[in-house]
Amino acid sequence: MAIFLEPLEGRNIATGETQVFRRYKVIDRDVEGQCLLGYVDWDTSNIMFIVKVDPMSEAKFRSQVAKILDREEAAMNSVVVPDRPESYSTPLQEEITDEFNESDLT
Amino acid sequence: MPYSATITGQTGQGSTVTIASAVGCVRSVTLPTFSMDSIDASCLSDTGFMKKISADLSDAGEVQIVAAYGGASQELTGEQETITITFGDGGSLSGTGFISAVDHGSLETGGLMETTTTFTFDGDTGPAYSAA
Repeated sequence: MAIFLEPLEGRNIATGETQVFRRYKVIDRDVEGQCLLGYVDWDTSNIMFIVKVDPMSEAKFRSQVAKILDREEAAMNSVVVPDRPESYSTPLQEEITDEFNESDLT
Repeated sequence: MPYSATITGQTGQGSTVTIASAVGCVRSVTLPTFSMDSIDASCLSDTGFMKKISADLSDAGEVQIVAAYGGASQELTGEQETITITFGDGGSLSGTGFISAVDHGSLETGGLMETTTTFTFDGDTGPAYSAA
């Protein structure tokens, strides 16, 4: 038994385009097949079950889904920002600046 | 759920409705009617039937969910949420929208207390169909 999250997507009935919702399918997968347990919105870890599960299994599923969401969030936040060239933060000598100089008026 | 491999047709048994606010024991779901207005394009010289052209946009309609009263009422917050109706065969219909009405029904001796929640599609994402 392993819990997987798959993005909920479908074909828009008006346009025919495939659209992805801010919701994930919570799937329980094992060697015999898979079972759709419910859905979880991207901004919450609250699973909306569509099948009946016993309280112990429910707690286990909620814990596993929370871990997956935390892991994904951590991965998103660990994106490495490329270094800025030093010249961006250290002004070059004799660089023209926008500082106001009263002598420029005369 | 599907009846057999050779006979086409299925019932609503086993279908589920998922929105952010729980709806409890769902007893029936009225699926949306997608519609498109018509514009009268008849000319003065026309005879017989009216001539019509279609409007530009479709109306995604609304979903009505009848549930047994469970001691709590849906809140009309106006916030956008996603509804997913999962059919017995595993296919689903999803779309964004908002709860636009909550009918608390009537109180009767020997009658089940029911609430009817109306979810209106906003056309932002979906309605979209996903096969099983």
